[in-house]
Amino acid sequence: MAVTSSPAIAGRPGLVSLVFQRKSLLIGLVVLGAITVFAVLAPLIAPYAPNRLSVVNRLQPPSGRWWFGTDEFGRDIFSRTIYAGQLSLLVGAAATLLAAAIGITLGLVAGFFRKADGIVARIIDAMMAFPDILLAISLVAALGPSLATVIVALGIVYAPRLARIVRASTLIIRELPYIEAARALGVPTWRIMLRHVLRNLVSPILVQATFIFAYAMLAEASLSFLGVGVSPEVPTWGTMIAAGRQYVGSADWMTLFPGIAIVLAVLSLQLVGDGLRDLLDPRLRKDL
Amino acid sequence: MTRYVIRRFLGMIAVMFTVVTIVFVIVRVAPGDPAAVMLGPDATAADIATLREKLGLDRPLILQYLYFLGQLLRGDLGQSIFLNMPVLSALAERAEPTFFLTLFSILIASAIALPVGILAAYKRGSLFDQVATTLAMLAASIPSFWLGLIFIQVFAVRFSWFPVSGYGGPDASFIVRLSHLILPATTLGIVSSALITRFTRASMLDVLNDDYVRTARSKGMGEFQVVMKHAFKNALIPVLTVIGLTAALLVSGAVVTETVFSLPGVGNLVVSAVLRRDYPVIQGALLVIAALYVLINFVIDMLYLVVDPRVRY
Amino acid sequence: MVITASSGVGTGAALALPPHVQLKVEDLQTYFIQGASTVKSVDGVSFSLSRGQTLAVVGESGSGKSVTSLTIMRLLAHPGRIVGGRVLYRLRGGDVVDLAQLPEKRMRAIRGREIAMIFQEPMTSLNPLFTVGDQIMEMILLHESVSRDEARVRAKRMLELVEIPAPERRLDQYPHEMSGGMRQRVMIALALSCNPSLLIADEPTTALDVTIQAQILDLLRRLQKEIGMSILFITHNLGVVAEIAHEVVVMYAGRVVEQGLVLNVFERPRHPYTRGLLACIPDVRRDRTEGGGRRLLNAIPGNVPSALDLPTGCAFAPRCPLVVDRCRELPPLIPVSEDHLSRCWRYDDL
Ligand SMILES: Nc1ncnc2c1ncn2[C@@H]1O[C@H](COP(=O)(O)OP(=O)(O)OP(=O)(O)O)[C@@H](O)[C@H]1O
Ligand SMILES: [Mg+2]
Repeated sequence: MAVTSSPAIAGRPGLVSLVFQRKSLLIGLVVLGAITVFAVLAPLIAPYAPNRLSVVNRLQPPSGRWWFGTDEFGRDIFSRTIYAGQLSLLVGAAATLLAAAIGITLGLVAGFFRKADGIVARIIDAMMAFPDILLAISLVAALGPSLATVIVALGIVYAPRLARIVRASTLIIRELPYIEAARALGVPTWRIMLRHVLRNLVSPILVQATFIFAYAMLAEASLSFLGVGVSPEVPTWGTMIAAGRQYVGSADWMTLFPGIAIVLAVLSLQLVGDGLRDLLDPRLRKDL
Repeated sequence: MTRYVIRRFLGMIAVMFTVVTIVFVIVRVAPGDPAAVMLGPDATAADIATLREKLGLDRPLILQYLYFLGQLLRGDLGQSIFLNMPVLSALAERAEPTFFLTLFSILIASAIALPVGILAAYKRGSLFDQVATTLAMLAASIPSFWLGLIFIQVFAVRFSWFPVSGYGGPDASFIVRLSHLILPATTLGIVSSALITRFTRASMLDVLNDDYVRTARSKGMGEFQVVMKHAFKNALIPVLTVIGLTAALLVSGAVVTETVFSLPGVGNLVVSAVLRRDYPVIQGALLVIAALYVLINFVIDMLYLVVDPRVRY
Repeated sequence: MVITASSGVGTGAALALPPHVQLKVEDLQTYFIQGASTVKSVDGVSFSLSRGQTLAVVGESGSGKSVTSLTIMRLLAHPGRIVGGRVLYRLRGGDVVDLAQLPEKRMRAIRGREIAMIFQEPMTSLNPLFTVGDQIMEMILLHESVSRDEARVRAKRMLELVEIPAPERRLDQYPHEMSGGMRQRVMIALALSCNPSLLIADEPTTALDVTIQAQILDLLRRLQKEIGMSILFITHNLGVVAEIAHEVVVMYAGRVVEQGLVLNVFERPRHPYTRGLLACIPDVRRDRTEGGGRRLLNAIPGNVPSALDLPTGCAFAPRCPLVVDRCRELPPLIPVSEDHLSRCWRYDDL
């Protein structure tokens, strides 16, 4: 990407209208916003407490009373689905932040210090060789399953993706003539470089982070489904689907609705990521 | 050319070595004593000490590492704690369903993704393109275990077209085993077709406006041949890379899918190992799968040599 | 040269061309229509090309030269569309067809076999993944029922024809193993391998350095004599025009502004744009580099107007030193002398 000293965000006044021009970005933002609102306001919206048992009403199909039906303990699936959103979003967001912290640090270290670069680059390559779910469950197994370890594991799993971007950009900026000149004059260059690197990386990091958010939510659901993530009693979309597994064919609503929730959340994040990529830097666009 | 091969080979060895080190570290970062964790709260101090010795945990870390490397070089992945057999045998025993699941998934994924991706690029901006691009994004948003459950609901339970789960018992015929693979392979195939579709479309878009494609048209060649012979062959190289890497990463999807369909494959083995804290098995599976990924990467680099005459350095 | 000032000639009757004419473009209009915006890249262009002759089309970048040639080949990219006009072409058998109306399937049999094309970018016009031999043979096998061995012999002969040394070895080489000039020779060999009656050369020498350019021009001239094909030669370099062409069409913003025999036009240009172009080459014979072409274009103040907001009237008026009130009205192509047309009200003042 080109490196210029012009203000990073030109034409800011048009930003809102630019968002509106991109239908998919708009849809993504609206759906994501709706999911977030539902999750945050779950205590106000949910008609029942998520853990209220009612054995007489177990496995009721969707109806006016239980919009999404009830599960094997008679708990209201609609209420659980929106409460589960809290945790799924929390895990996704926290894992993304952690991945960003690790990834950006690693990338900067690799880019700034020639000596460290070889090792860091190789670690990044090697980390990418592990399929994400497999690496995540191994880390969870090593660290012991809990909400926190799931977040840590996913943060580690997705950090290399950001590290790669940051490293590549830092390496390019390091070779810019005026950085070289500054270095030759003995000016401590890392400060200048840091400013440059970060300014140029805001867009790609934001875009990549959106996708990592999406992958992390998918991965968390998989871990919970496999029973190696958060404890099965905690309602997340993954644990809800896992619980519904035994009732496939008899109480399909138990798996259907949490699944739709995941799809909507991940899809909206991908739409936002794609839209942001278009919006922030058309040059990054690879039609992917 | 020899230099290219040697360089790639050395690169592969270096990454392989790092992979081994990372696996070693992962298993050793476990807080507390792995032996105690493995044996559970009822274990006696003597039991724990025995296991520690058996696992070599009583030695200094660096020695453990060197010992680990030495074992690997001899092709020894250690001993499973719960299965009472070498990890390598445990993996080998479970390899068949995973291998075929991965193979069929990638075939299904490519069968969907290549035509759709090519056509979407060729008709860029058309309704077909928009629908295909949206569906690809949707497919990438669907958790494979959920799609698997829906398939079970619809095709196995409601219509009884396919078996619900398992691999047909120890002496089932190949056809029976195959019928057990159809639903899981379709599930994984659909989910992984998303990435390949997007990639095929993008690399086709890259080449469709190239000058040599215009040259081919100016020869009087039909559109189909122009697109498939001249454009697609040039787009194929990055697409091959993605297909290869998807195949390697599918093993990860297999972890989830095998659990949904109760297929006795490597993925299933790993999940039960994680639940039982059978560290040697986890470690072995991680190593084998990452090594596969690195190896496939190397093979793709070599394929470049065959496909692209320009790669010669 | 048969000059048609506008369309309407020969309508109604079955398609026919005077016996010596290979290609006749009549009032061709090619627009790029996307939503509400229309770019009139080619707007009423007419010319005709005799058998065995060379017609040069000159004009600055964006004047519609490539679009004209792609229209004739019917290789326009998506939003491009032929809106009007005819492209009469004489087939080998003697029949005359209107390429603008021909179904794609028949067009395919004409491309490569009857009309071949070479492009500006020799570095990228050949497919990097196939050997040079394969790419030439592909063309031969596409249009003629010969065996692969025969096609290979023919391909080798073509390489000899374009003076590529060690042709047998070159057949098995890939494009990246050759220099730009060599690749352009391969392109020419490829284009001529089915003995086309018309060769369209879209700036074939622009990307090459001066000495190679001269060699390629010499080669084209020689091959034309040997094979007898007509050449539609597109360039923005008047020096090259003097070298190779018999007739010249000067285009500006999608329209023909002057056309005639090279001798006449060079002797006495009747359009201020052509005069401007010519004034920049002190010695046409000497200066045949494309760099010279660039220089001369810069010497006329101003730029080609964007095809989106063409002035009404003469498109050159904003840059014209002779501009008068009347130029707000678009001049027709006015016959200024025998075989010489100019789209300028003041052709007599030139
Ligand atoms: N695909 C397209 N979409 C829209 N407009 C186009 C397209 N292709 C060409 N044009 C327009 O047609 C006009 C003529 O283009 P053309 O390529 O024929 O110019 P040219 O005379 O060949 O110039 P050059 O010397 O640069 O090759 C230009 O103004 C261009 O904007
Ligand atoms: Mg052109």
